[in-house]
Amino acid sequence: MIELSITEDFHSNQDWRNHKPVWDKEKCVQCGICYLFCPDGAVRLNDEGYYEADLKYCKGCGLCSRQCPTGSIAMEDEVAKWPWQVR
Amino acid sequence: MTSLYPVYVPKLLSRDEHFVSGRRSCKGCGKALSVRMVCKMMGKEAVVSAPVAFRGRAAGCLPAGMGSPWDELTSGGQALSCADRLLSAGKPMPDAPGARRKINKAVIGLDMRVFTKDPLMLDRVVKGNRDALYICYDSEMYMDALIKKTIPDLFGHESPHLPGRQELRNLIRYKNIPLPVLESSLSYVATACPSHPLDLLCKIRKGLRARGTSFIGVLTPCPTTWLFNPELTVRMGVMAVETGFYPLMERESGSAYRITEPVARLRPLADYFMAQHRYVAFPRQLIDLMGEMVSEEYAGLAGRARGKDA
Repeated sequence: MIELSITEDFHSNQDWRNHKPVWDKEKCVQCGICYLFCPDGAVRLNDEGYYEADLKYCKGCGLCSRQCPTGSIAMEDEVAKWPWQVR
Repeated sequence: MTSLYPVYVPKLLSRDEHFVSGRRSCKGCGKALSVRMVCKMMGKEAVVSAPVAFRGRAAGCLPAGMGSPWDELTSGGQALSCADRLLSAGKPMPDAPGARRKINKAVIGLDMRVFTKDPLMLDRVVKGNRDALYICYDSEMYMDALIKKTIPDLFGHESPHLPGRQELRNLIRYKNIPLPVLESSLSYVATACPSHPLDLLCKIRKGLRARGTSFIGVLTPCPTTWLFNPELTVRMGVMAVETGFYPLMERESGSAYRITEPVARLRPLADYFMAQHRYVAFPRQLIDLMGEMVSEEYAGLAGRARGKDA
């Protein structure tokens, strides 16, 4: 029997995302530009004082990575790769 | 480190979110970004009214997109009737327990084109003396109409109908703020863009504090219809301001228009147009002509502001 992957959680934006933002804490100066420019309000302050993405709501648009003044946000691929694409 | 990066958002803004996550708007949506900033500035005690279609897109399948009260019954011109009703409802019992002394109220127009096509709504905004803030989101849909005009009717037909000089000049002059609003005596009129967020937030605050009717036009880059990479949403807004195509200006009551983000040397308009894939077949001579007109308009605006200040 074929199982179709149908989204049941309509509050989540996980099915939109191809890339996810990853913060480099050594480069981050905690300026909050990523928080300001996130269209989905998915960037939040954690207990350590650094910013991180709530991956339930992040759509992976890459605006935070583009606007980061220190280049501390990298966009990592999240899509499953074909065998010949894996190195 | 502090001198290198002087903007520290946590010290400037509150952390309260009134436009909550979990929406089904597109990736990198400029309108969602603007609405989020506006809602953050308006605070908790605000009533937002907008067409139902926008609510459906913004809030997703469940009514949880907004932290603020959301009026579902309004659509288009009815938003103004709703605003009147809300204001009059607050008046009879100002001293009642729980009654609001001041209602922060924003009427969100769906699009500048829809807004300007409805003469009744424009008339009521300009002539009405309401204590309200009208925010009009502008995703440059009128440029789509212009692009369609430049496409030839038949394959191989090389002489499409190109818009005339006067038509282009009127478009450039009145696209940011419609003519009735431009010449009205509203207490606060401004244009803003989410690419300059602190400017946008300051203008929203000024519009809320101004007594009487305020009008703010907000440019919202749209990756889906403008056809560009979603991560360039803010870059598009910056380019619109740097080319002079969307100058950020404001006018308080009794004063002249003032450019809030002055540009010393304008960028060529082609940079802004060519970054969007919808202009891929747009005639080059039309871009050059529009570039000249934009420079003239910008120089005129800057000159008028300088003259009134002096």
